[in-house]
Amino acid sequence: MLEEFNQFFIEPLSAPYVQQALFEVIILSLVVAVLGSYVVLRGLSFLSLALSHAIFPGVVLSALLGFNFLLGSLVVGVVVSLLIGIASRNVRVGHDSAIGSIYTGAFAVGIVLISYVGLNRRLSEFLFGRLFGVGWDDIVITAVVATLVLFLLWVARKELLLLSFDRNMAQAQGLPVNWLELGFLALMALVVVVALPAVGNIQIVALLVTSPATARLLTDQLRPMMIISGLLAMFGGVFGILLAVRFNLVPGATVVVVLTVIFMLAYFFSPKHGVLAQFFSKSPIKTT
Amino acid sequence: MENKRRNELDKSKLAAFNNLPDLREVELGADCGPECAEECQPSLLEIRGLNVAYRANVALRDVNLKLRAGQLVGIIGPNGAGKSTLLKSILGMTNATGQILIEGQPLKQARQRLAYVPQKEEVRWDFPVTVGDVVMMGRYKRIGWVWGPGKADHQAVEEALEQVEMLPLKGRQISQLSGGQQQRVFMARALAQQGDIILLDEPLTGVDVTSQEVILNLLHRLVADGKLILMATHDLNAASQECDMVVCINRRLVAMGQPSEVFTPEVLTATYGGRAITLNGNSSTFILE
Repeated sequence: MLEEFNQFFIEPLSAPYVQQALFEVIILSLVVAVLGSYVVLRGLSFLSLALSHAIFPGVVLSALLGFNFLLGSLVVGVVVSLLIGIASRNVRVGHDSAIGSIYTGAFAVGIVLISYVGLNRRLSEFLFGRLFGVGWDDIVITAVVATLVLFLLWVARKELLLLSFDRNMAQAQGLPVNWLELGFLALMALVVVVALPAVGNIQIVALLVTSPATARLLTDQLRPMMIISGLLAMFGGVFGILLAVRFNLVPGATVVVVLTVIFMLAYFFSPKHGVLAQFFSKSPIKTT
Repeated sequence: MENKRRNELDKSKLAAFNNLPDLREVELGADCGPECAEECQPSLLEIRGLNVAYRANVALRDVNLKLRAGQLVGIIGPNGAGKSTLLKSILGMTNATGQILIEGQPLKQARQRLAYVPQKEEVRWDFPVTVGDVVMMGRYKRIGWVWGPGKADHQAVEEALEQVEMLPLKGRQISQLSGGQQQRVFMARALAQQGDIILLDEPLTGVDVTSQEVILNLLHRLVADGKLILMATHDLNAASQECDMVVCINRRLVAMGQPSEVFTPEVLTATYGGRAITLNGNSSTFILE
């Protein structure tokens, strides 16, 4: 028993590539705890998914042209966000269709590009990351960006809260709501881009959306939501990585599976907001 | 048959409108006429030549208003008449042209003097914040970026909650409130803003009787304190019984005056068009909404 425990939890920790993967995931968990809670509360889950796919041509182009990868992805991310913004101004297109068509379009451009130059390996790296190939320099960049993003979210914490809860009131008070919204998207893009090489675009969305959405099922308060969301992301990250080591799996995808299983458990068994709790509670949900 | 009836209604509407005394002019004139030297305080809120359009649709055309402090002003009109738009335009939230002056100052310099209660249906009440958190949002602009709330802010929040009789529920999650309690929380947030012009969008809709009483009593206290309150409402009873002044709009300013001047079949027909029906030889008017 003890031996199995050792084999699963302790032994992998001595390998540097596992340590580095764990560091990366833990740092990301801290920033997505706060950022992701706002993503979920502001209804931006779909946009975060779209953004994380849409920067793919940026990744490919920077590899082809020898640009810095972060810069290339960020530029493409901004361009795609602007295109989505412009397209959704047409009432007939609407926000979700604009996101849907433009992100798939941008993603497809990336795939056409890699198939043209024969860099197909890039696609799976993009989707699932190379968590076991994370270097200390990646970790440092992630830590710097995470600190910056957390600091900015802290500076604008009141304004962001008001904007997320009641945009009308934010506007009525004279807050620069458009700039705030744009700034929030920029921070989201920054985190997605920085996390991408390590965890891939699917896991970054799982971190941004799945763990805060799980936390939302478990609490009614914002701060606990952020804390639970961070702890869940950390647990999912660490447990997923250890599973991946033990059974020789793709680490990024394993982490996502763990996070999704936790989400499903909360969805059914959350003491207050789970399906079962609501099924068995006779009293109406709203109490006055 | 249907068309014929509508034609008749339209004709009567037109006739009523042609006979309508132009209360706008009366009121605007009254503000500076020699006969009212005593009442002639400078206006606290002045709207000059306000035009609002959403794409090709005109929402409000050429609205001019002057309002003094210490009044409860009801804004009435049918759905889509531009009641909310008028309030939002005063707050600079629409692409309006025209001027908003607060004691002669443009909005930018006097925004702190405006407090706002949006329609409570426009926010998600399952948002994970407490009653106290929401009321504190009224202080955010005063607190400014970076800083957190200070002692004075916490005190203002408690006083505001006390005024709407919600202080015991300060720590409660907003998802657990009734419609009336939600509205009172929004009122408290506006009080915490400590403005002297308070704009309310449908504060009496979807609200229980107790909360209505609490809100109306509070509004009268505020008016007695010299605040100017603008309240967009569907509730014509409340407008006629509680308001000092009523503004009727239907994409333009139709009429304005004291309730007794405005609640006449002519004005209501002009405001509500075919949705106003007058029975028994002009003795009672019904609005079909």
